[in-house]
Amino acid sequence: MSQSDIAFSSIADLAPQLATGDLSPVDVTDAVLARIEQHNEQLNAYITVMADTARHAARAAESAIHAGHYLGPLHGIPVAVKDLYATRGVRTTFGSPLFADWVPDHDATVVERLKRAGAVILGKTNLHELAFGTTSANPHYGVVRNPWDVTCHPGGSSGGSASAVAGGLAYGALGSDTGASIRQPAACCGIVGLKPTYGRVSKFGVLPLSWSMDHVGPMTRTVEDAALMMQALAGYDARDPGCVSHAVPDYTAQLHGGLRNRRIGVARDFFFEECDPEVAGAVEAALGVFRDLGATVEDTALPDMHAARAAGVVILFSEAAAYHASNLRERPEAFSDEVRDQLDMGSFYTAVQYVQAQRMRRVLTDETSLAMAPYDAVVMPTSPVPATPIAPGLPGHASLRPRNTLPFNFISLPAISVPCGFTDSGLPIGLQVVGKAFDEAGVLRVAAAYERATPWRTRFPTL
Amino acid sequence: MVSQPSVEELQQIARDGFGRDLSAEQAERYRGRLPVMGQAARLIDEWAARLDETAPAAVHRTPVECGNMDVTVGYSVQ
Repeated sequence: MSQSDIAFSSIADLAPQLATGDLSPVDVTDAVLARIEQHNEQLNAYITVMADTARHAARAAESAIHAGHYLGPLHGIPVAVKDLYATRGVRTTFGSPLFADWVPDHDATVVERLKRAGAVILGKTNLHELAFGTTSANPHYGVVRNPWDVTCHPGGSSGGSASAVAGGLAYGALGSDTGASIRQPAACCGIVGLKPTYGRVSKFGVLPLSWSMDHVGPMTRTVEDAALMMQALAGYDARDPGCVSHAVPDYTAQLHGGLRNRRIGVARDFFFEECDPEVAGAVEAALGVFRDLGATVEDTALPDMHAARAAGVVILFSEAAAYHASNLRERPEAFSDEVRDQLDMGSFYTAVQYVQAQRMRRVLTDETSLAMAPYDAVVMPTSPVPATPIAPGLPGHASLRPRNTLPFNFISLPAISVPCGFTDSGLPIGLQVVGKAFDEAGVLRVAAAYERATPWRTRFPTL
Repeated sequence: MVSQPSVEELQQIARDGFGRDLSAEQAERYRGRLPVMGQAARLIDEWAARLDETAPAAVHRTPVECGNMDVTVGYSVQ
């Protein structure tokens, strides 16, 4: 295999070759590190590259596999970690000068789990400052660029993770999602991003943005790879009070189950209202693929999503203002104007409005569960628009809005973005598949069936 | 091209939505987010009037239902 073939292989394709010794984790890691060396200056996907540590881990994986201690499909696979996760002995900036020199003495739970599964950590990926924004145009650590068009944003806040995975600078990455931050950059960069159910994956060691809206999940080039990463990440952790002890299924078991006699709902109200015509067209075409696969596809109405978004905004901004209150008071100069203004505005909402938003959350969660009951999944565009141009002075949030994604942070349901086409100018488009609580396996199954039936996963950007 | 709200309109949004009097400079500074945040405040107020008075705040309820494609392999504490 050429270095480029290796770099754009899927985890699922590489794993058997690593298991048998036909391929070495050292060669795989070197191939990806070479691409990082070659392209990171342009993409700004990584804040910190851990080349020495990665090579050391790759050699250890090679020895372990050779000695018959194969740990599973992530063993020897190089992955990236959003710089919002604590990494023991490695600088963790959260994309902010406030933490420019912070070296944690512990790993976030999910980093621990990736290491335990044998993954090789390549480095820490760039992000929107403090994960509070959708462009990843970080004024402190550089503007992250989209591998499909380097004049465009990759989305955010997990833009570095998305750019790295799409550009062949990692096989998978950790993202975090408070309103859009896994799914929207996944859509913008033509990769897969899974936001699990609230409580499914531990957030211990991840900088909060909004305690009740934050989620942790994988970003990969294929749905099967997302399932493989989820298998390592999911499960109870007593160190995260929001984490639940709930059965963890085999996420790959149903991936090839198909969609015959499955019911797919199409949520048109709200989610298609402000959609770019090319995005809407790609999603309509995807509905035809679902029908061809034997699924019943029908329009459905979810409860008041305008209200879900509004209440989600109130909760997100209020909790973010609460979390950052002391730093904002003591070191306002360490925040960009954009983030400082957003935090200022978070404190505008009153306690009454916050409580009313949480009361609405209960009602809308129940109503949405009821509306989704007849369906195996409900689909809609991930982002109403494709990636937007990087333009200084133009506020990214004006165009790259978390409109279609934030409601599912608010009501906690699992949602995945899977590539569903390209615009005429070659920018990726994402389809969002939403499932019932803790049914990540169902969401992955629907996304996998669609992915297999379409050519999008075989296209890679040219850098 | 969507028309931009005037500074006076932004100040009105802040008064109606948050009970805050912003200076012209502040209104301009928060221009990018203020309309959406004001709209959120208005929707919250409208919805609050429709909520059953016994409905408590969730703060924060984790879902417990299982989807119909989840393969249950027993509870695990990892």
